Amino acid sequence: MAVTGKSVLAATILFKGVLLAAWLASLALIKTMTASKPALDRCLALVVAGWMPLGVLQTVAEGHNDIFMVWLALMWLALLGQGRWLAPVALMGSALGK
Amino acid sequence: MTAPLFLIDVIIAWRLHGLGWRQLIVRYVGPGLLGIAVFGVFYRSPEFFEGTRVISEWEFLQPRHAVEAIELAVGFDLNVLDWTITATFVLIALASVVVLLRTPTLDNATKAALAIMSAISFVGIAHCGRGIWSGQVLLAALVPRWWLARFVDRRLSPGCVLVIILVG
Repeated sequence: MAVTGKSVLAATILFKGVLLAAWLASLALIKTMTASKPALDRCLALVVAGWMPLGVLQTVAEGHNDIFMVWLALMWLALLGQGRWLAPVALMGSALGK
Repeated sequence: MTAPLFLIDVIIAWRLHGLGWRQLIVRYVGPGLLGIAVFGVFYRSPEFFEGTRVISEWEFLQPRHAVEAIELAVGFDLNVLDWTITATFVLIALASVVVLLRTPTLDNATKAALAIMSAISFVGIAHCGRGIWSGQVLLAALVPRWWLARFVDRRLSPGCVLVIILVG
């Protein structure tokens, strides 16, 4: 409401835009996290994550915000592998997001 | 949903990165304060948990519901099968955590995270939300050849999704 005022259309576009961004960011993270794996595993990872209709249907189309939780969970795993102190912060964000 | 994954964070920080118990405590001060701050902003009364309570009354799409359907079809009690499925998911999660403790790698951390989330979503909660499934798929994508990841992917295959959409 603070950003979009009383416009339902603007709120819908903003909300779905955030979900779409989280979904695309998750795909980018998966691509980065599997960069060191064999080509077949990288392809499998992107196909499973990106081509499964469930992902787009349940997030961008239906508006489930779980993708935000999972994006932060993926971020946590990526940071955890690098030994970064921000990893548990990302995980807390994920837990709070749901 | 993802709060239990802190167990994995502790194991990796301790076993892989070699953090001592003091460093571990310091590690969780920031996230703890963040959690308290956000909770403090939104919590006003116990009714804060009303949504969670209502959702816990929804019963939908769990393996035990499939068992109930089979019970109706065959006409006898399959309670043992129900408990076997529940115990299996819990044991898979426990086993994956033990493997992670013994061999602390990022792959094993991902597997343990997927196993824990599968246990929660398939048997731990009453209503397995489709949004949660979409999250599980993304974790499964990181270890696509692991058998549990394949189970998750196939359970959520396009045909299954079509049925869910038609029924739901």
